[in-house]
Amino acid sequence: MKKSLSHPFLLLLILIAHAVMLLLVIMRFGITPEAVQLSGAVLLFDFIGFIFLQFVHREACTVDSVLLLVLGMSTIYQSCFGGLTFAKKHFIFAVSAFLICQFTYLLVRNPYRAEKLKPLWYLMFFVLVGAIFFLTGSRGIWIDLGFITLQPSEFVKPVFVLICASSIRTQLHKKTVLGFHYVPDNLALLICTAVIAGLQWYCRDLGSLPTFAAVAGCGLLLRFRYLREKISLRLVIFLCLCAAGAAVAAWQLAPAYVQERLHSDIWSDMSGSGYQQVKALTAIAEGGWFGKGAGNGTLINVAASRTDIVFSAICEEWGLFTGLMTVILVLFLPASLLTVPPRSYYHSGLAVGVAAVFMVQMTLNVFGSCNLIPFTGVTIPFISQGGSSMLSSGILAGFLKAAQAPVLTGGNSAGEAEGGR
Amino acid sequence: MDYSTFLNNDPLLRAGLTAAAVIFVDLCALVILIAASRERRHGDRRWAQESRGLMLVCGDTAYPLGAAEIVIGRHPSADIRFRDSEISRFHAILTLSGGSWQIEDLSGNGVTVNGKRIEAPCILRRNDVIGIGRRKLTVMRGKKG
Repeated sequence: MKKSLSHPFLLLLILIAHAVMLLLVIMRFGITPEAVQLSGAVLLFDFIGFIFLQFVHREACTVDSVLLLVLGMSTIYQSCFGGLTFAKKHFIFAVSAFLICQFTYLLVRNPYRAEKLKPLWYLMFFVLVGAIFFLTGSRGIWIDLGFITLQPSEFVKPVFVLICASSIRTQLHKKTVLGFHYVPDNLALLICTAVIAGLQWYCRDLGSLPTFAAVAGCGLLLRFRYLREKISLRLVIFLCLCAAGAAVAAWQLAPAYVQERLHSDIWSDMSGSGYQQVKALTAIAEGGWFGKGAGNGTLINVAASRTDIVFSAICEEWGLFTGLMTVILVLFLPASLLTVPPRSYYHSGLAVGVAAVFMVQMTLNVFGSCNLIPFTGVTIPFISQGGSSMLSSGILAGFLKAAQAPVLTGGNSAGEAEGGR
Repeated sequence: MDYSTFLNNDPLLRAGLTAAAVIFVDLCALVILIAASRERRHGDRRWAQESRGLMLVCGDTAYPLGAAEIVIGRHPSADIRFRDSEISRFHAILTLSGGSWQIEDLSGNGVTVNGKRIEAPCILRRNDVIGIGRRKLTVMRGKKG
């Protein structure tokens, strides 16, 4: 039996796809030092990735291949917006995301060990929450270290996914207080969810709230473990009512600026509150199917063009086809679980949490750019500029890898087991 | 060399090159899908090897051990479900670790292996007979993966 897989043809194709995109850039800007730096960096990254996947590590290649393709494309996009400048910082974070994905994979590939480390995940969660509360300044979400600014709420996402995942054994460990049965791990998850929701509300970072809500919802649903056989209708109705009640409450209690965004007509105030969205929509329309050409976009002059409305910026310069293809490629990451299903409940929880983060973030960003919902300030994983988002997405991709290529040792002790007979 | 004027003045060429880039990315996506299906087969083989291709057989019914944790019980969410009243909602759990399966009594209502009641987690071998309530499950080798 073959021990591992290799996909040299796929990796070669990724190299060619990047090369064609770079050819477009070079034909637009000529052979400038910036173009040479960009081409060299992207192609070298592909080559090193090729060597790594071909000869060093050949498990869960789908995730690694998608990462290589998307990270290269993302570096090219970010370097070309509004003119060619090699996005050095973005590239460094892209490489770091690839590396951190491999590290995270090694950390959580054994579900039994990852579950035992749960107290550490809780500690990390509260350290990060404390950092957001005490270090980000008055109701802010950034920590300014001078040479770099960090967004700790981005790092809370993977830690929260780790907390949401749970094994059967943990779920069967019940306690009774005053006649009430409860699972300590579920209670801890509910407390963490309440803490993060309260903090996001306090920091006015409401854009990330749907992401955390989706992860917590998926985690709780998996804990009921009804998915394998049947979903109780009463449970579904109860959860739907809870979600509807929460949505109505949030709608009513939302701060003034959110209320304004929810009710405003962007076309009646094109130079005021609707400015960003009008520009984003116009950019998609101007780009057409094949775009204006790399570096020919004008959306760069609008705030958050590289982050919150990056989908519009890509559509403007590279066309709607490329924009949609990019979105689909990022969605390939969670979709890869349909082909290689996780073998343990803990990894299933991790994988579902990651899928929730990627799907919700992608939806919020793309729908925001298309004016289907108000802007939320959420990034597209691996595509938007921002080190915290990139590294956090890399960690989440590592969870997906772990779910696809698990190591199942240490779940029992042979001596104890033998003695049981 | 500066081709910028040439490229900017020829929208057809620009569209053609962008389309070529999209086609190559599409091709990558297609090959990734093919690679994923290949990886699935590889994953199944790997699992069969790791789990020793074992399954539980109860009468005429075979229960493949497709995950690292298998719960046997009366609860609707149990992986192997028996509706017998003498079986607990979560009666026993099978766990795969280091290439061997072990069974553990979760309910305290009794699990036997080859007729002997287990007091602690017990490693399972081929042809072992697990007793849960009045059910007898035999550990057997399934189809070769």
